[in-house]
Amino acid sequence: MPENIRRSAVITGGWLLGLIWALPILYALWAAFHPSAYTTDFDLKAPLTLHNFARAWVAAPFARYFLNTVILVIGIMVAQFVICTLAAFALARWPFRGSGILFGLILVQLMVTPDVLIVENYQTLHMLGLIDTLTGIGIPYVASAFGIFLLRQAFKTIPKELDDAARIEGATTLQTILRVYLPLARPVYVAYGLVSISYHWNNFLWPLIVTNSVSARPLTVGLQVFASVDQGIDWSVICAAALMTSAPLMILFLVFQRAFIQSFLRAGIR
Amino acid sequence: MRRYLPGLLLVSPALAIIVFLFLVPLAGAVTGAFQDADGGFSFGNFIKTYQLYSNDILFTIVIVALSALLTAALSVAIAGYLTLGTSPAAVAILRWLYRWPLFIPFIVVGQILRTFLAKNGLMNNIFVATGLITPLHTVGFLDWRGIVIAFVWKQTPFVTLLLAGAMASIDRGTVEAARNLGASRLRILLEIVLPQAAPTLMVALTLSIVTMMSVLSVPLMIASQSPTVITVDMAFRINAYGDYGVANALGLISLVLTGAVAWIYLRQTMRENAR
Repeated sequence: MPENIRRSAVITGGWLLGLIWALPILYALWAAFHPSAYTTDFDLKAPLTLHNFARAWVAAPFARYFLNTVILVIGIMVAQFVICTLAAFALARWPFRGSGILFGLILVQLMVTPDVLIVENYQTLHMLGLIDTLTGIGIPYVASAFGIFLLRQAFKTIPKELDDAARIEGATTLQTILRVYLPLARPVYVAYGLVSISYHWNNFLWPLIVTNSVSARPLTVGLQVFASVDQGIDWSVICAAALMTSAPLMILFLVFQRAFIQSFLRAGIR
Repeated sequence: MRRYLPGLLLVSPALAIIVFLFLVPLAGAVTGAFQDADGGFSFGNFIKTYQLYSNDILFTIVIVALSALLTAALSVAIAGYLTLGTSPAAVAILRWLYRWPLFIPFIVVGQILRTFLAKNGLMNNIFVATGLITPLHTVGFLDWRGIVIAFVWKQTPFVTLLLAGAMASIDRGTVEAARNLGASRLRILLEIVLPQAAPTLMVALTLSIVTMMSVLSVPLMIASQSPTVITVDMAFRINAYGDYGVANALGLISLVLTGAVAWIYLRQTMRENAR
């Protein structure tokens, strides 16, 4: 009997902790779907409403922000896949003089926080006329050190015999990469792709600095509008806007949850 | 040697970006930090940074260190239960629940917690409604506590994810042996499982620290008044004064701090690769 009591105590405690853990999200859901009057007032009989989402939607050009963000994250991911694949293939398979130093440089890039370079990168992009463009937001990230490192590790585990076999069959280098390396490293691409998407969907500081108009602003920067005091702080609208911003990513995560976690573990991302 | 040109060709797009958007700006940021308004070499920016922001630098280190410690403790507890837990239902629920904050942007975390932790926010209203405290005694958590809560809440799933993976892959034999000898679960976790998963924990914490050092949105929303963290100061220096010298100096200090931590990560990775 005591064992049973202990067990139910543990389970109750676990539920309680879980509830506290999920409380901020549950709270955001509560505030977003109820009238402002109930934002900080927990009442089970409070009426449900979508009004907050409607207000948030008109308060900022969300449709445009969504479009910008989707173009941005997909664009960055595709560019990263191409550039990192080529570099990783060369570093893994065709070592040349200085490639060790180059790989070292790439690793150093891993440990530099992007905010150190913001001032300088802003000036470079200004020179190139890329300020306030989606290309400008994305370009500093396309030669991702993390991506090159990860893909190089994955490519190194692929047997060289497959290369030779492909060459004997008359495949060009590009064909070898596309038909042999890409399929075999698929879990790494999936894991890296999701990390890249979630990072750039959430990225805030650099887009905030580089953009100054609606046409290039991603969601996170657009959400900043609701943080300004002169808007008057309407928490239910803020929560609705915050939920709208992260909903696509959460849905993506839910759909790909299993594949993502497995790829993550298999790829040994750290 | 035969492969010199093709190899370089494949690397060149990445190389160009690394040179122009990483190496050149890094050199520029370093020299910019050591330049005065007339372009001459000086330590002026660092002296000014020290006078104005030494408290904030210390504040940043304390906040990040505290968040990392709490994140580590929570992650060990969650990953430990996922590995050694005996109730399948509880393990399944925990596994489902703990990952949620991973995919919520920092800025959204900031927004949500700002409204949740405020003096008249939902948390305090619940406390008041349940009679735990009176409205007069409510305190807002929108200061260092808010930042730490946001960081821990956001980073714990990431560290736990990696740690649970490492714990799942260790040799079950030793765990079973200890269990048969009557060791408690806590003891098995701390003395057998954790030491084997420690390298992964260190690596995950390092990446977390680098991330926390570079987040602007959370501190900006939760506690932008003094004392605050380095990123908020940098943004302020640039937006309010156009003072790139001090901003660069702050950036360099942030770089040295993260660099020291990241160095551990790199050494660990290299050592594992060498194996």
